[in-house]
Amino acid sequence: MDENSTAGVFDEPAKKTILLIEDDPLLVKMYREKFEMEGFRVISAEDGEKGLDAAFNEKVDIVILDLLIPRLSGMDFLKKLRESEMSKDLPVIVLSNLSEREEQDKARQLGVKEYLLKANLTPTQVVEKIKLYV
Amino acid sequence: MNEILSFIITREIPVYNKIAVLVINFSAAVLLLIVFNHNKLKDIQSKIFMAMGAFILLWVDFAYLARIAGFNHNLSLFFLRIAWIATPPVFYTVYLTSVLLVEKFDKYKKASYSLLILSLILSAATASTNLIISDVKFTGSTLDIVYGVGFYPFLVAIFAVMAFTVIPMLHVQLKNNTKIFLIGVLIFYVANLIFNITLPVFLGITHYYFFGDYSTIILLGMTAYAIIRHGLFDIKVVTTELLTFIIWIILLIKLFTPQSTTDTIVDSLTLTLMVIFGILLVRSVIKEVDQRRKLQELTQKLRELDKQKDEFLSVAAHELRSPLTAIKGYLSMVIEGDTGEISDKAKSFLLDSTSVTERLIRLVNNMLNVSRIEEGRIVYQLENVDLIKAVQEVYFTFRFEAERKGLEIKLTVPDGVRDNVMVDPDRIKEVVGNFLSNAVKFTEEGKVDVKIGNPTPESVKVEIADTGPGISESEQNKLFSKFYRAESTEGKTMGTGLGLYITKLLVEEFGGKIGLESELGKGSTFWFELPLVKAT
Repeated sequence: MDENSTAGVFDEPAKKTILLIEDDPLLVKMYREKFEMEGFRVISAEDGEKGLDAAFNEKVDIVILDLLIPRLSGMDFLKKLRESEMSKDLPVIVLSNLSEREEQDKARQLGVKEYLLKANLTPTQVVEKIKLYV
Repeated sequence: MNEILSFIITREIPVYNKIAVLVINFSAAVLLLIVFNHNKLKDIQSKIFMAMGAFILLWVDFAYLARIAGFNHNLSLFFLRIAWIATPPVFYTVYLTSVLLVEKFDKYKKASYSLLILSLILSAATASTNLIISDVKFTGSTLDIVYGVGFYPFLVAIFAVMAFTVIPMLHVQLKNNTKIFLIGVLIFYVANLIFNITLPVFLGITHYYFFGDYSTIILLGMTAYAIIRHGLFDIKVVTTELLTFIIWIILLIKLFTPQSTTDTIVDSLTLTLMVIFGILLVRSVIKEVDQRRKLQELTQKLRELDKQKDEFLSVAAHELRSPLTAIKGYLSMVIEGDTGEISDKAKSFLLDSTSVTERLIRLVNNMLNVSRIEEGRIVYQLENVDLIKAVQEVYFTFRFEAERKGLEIKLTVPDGVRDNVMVDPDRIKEVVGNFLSNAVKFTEEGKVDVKIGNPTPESVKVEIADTGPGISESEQNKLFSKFYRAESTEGKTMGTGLGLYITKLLVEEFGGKIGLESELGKGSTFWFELPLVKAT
C-alpha cells in the first residue's frame, strides 16, 4: 500500500484503485458512481479476460468480482490471478448473486476476502466492506 | 469300436441317432422361439435366422427320412431330393448372416435377396431331374447317393460361398458376438467338408454323413447368441426361456417313449399345460424386464429434468437478483443523500419502495432455497454464531419499515443472556427475517416485540410478538406446511406460502424447535429455540 502511494505521485497519489469486474452495465454505472463518490479510482471490465488483463497491467488495490461473467468465469479468473506471482496476494471481494454454498466454498479456498450477495447489500454497505481491506 | 460301426451301418437306425435328430429339432425350435420372442422378426437378421433354421431342419430331417425310408427306393429318393432343395439355401443364409453381422448388408441388399431366390429356384428345378442326385442305392443297409453331373459345379459354388463367408470376416475387427458366430460357421463348414463332401464323394464313406448334418445345431446356437447379443438381451429372459423350452423337450421325448395309453394321455395333458404356462411365464418375465428397463429410462429422464430445473432456478434467481440489486442500490443512494437533499415525503416514499424491493429479494431467496433444503442438497456452513448480534442485524433492517407504518418496535435482551449457537449465519438471518417480515407485514397498528432469553440453561429462545390479526387454532397447525397461507391474510399481501415452511426446515436442521402462540384478534407470538453451544 505504501509503495502505491509513492509510485503514483503524478496521478492523485492518495486514490486507491478498485478493479470492478461486472457484466451488467447498469450495475457497473451504479457501483462506479458510488465508489468514485467515496474517493476511489475505478477500472471496470465486463468479462474475465479483460479483468485479468487489467489486473496484470494496471495498478490495482482491490478486485470486486462478479462470478457469472462471460469468456473467463469468475472462478477461472480467480485461479489465474492466484497463479501469477504479481497478483497472487491481491485482495478480492466476490460480489455476486450466486448464493450456492459450493461456489462460496470454492471462492473462499481461492482466498477471497469476502463473499457478498449483491442483492442483500446497498452500495454503501459494499463500500464499508471494501474499506476493511484497502 | 467295431460294435458301434456295425451298429451305424445297419439299416436299423441307431437309437442315439434318433435321439440326435429329435434333439436337433427341438434345440432348433427352442432357438427359433427365443430369437422370435426377442426380435419379433422386426429386423432383417432375425428374419434370415428364421429362414436359416427352417432350411437346416428341412435338410437334416429329410436326409434322415430318406434313411428311414430305405425300404422304399422311390420314397427315399424323393426325400433326398427335398433335402437337396434345402441345401443351397442353408449355405446361402449362413453367408447372408455373416454379411449382416459385419454390417455391409445394405450395399448388397437387392443382390443378396435375388441370389437367395435364384438358388432356391435352381435347387427346386434340379430336384426333379437327375442332374444333382441321380439315384440312391442301398448297399446292404447303407444309403449311398449317386450324384449327377450337376453336383460338381454345385460343389464349386459351395466352396465359393464358404470362402465369401469366411474371408471378409477375417479381414475386419470383429465384435465378440460376431466371433462366436464365426466359430459356429467354421465348425459347420469343417464338419461338412469332412463328413458330407470329402468322405462320401471322394472316398465313398457315407456312414458319418450325420456328423455334418448335426453340426448345424452348433451353428444355429452360436448364430442365435450372436443375434440376440446384438440386440436387446436380458439374461433373466433367456434363462427363463431356456428352462421352459427344456422342460417342453423332456416332456415331449417322454411322450414318444413306449408307454401305456393312460400315461400317454397324462403326458400329453402335462405337456399342453406346460406349454401354456411356459408361454405365460416367459411373457410375464419379458414384460417385467421391459418395465424395469422403461423405469430405468424414466428415472434417468427425471434426474436430467431435475438437474435442468435446478439450473433454471439458479439462473432465474440470478437474473432476478440483478435488477433488484440495481433498484435497491439506487434507492439507497438517493435516500442516503448521494444525489443531494430530498424532501421528507420523497424519502418516505423511497423507503417504502425499498421495503417492497427487500420483500421481493426475500421471495426470490425463498423460492431458490425451498427445493434445495427439501432435497438435502444445501450445504450448511455451521459456525459459532452470537445469536443476539445476528438478530440485531436483521432487526435494524426492519425497524424503519415498522416505524414508517406507525408500529412500535422493540428488541429486548436481558443482561447475561447466553446466545452462542452452532448455525449457518446466513440461514439463521433468513429465519429471523421471515418472522420479522411477517410480523411487520400483518400488523396494522400496535407493536412488534422481539425478545431473546434462555428458557433453560441449555437453550436460547427468540420470540417475536405482534398485535396483528392473530391466527385461529385450526390454522395454527397448518401454518408451517408448504404453500399454506393463513386465510386472514388472503388478498392482503403477496406471498408464496414458503417463508414459514423454510423457516421450520432450517430451525429443525440446526437442532431447534419452532412454534407459535396466537389467538384471533389478539396477535401472535412466533418463536424458535436453539440449543446453546456447550461452554468448554
